[in-house]
Amino acid sequence: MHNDTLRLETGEVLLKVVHRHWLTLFTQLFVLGLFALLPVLGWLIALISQNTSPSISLNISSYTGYFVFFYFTWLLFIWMALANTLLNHYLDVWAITDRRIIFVDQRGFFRRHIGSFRLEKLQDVNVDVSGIIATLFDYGTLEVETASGSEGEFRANHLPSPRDLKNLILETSQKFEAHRR
Amino acid sequence: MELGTTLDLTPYLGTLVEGTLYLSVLLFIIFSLVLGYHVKQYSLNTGRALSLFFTYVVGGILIIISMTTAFLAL
Repeated sequence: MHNDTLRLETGEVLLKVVHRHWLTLFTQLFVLGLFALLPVLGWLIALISQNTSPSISLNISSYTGYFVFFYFTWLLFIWMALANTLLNHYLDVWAITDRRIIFVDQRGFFRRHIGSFRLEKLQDVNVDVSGIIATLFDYGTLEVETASGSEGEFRANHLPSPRDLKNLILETSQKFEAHRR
Repeated sequence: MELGTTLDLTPYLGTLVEGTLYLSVLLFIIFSLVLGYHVKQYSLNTGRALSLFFTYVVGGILIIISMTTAFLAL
């Protein structure tokens, strides 16, 4: 299945597949959770304000049935947003093979960017872990520089264990070079 | 509006609720089809991704059933 999705060459061995760090997904899901609770909070505030100021000419408690309906509608949209978040997280992939580094960037529906570069063009790998949270949870930015200027640099944010990834890329690149000679 | 009278929004809300229900179901169906296509086409572990997708569909259906129940109870 990997061969089809990542378009591996014949005989190419997949060494590692990396998604973004789970903390980025957790943060997005946490925000969605807060959004799911927002209408309940609004409804409670409306009920309390009606009890404290009877001058409001709207009997809010008689609209409970409508609130329940619209709240379920809201939840349906939150549910769809959650599915979209999970899809984007799992379809964003960095794959390291014995010949190439493949990166897939899913930017929403029907917007997908797949790129790769060969290990023989690898010049340097830089890791940037900045901040307390990134250090604690061990995630950071990985930047790969290539020898040819035409392909430019490849950068991925929020990758888990970036130092291990750097070591794997450098080791694989050295093995690849030794195999070529 | 005279002071002391209570505002009644139910005639307007009735139409809004019905329209919202049908539109939401339509959007959910379209969204699920697109999502299913992406899962089937691009996921690295199709078996696991499909089981997650079916969990999403079942969850969505449960929410729609709750919406319909709330609509019928109005």
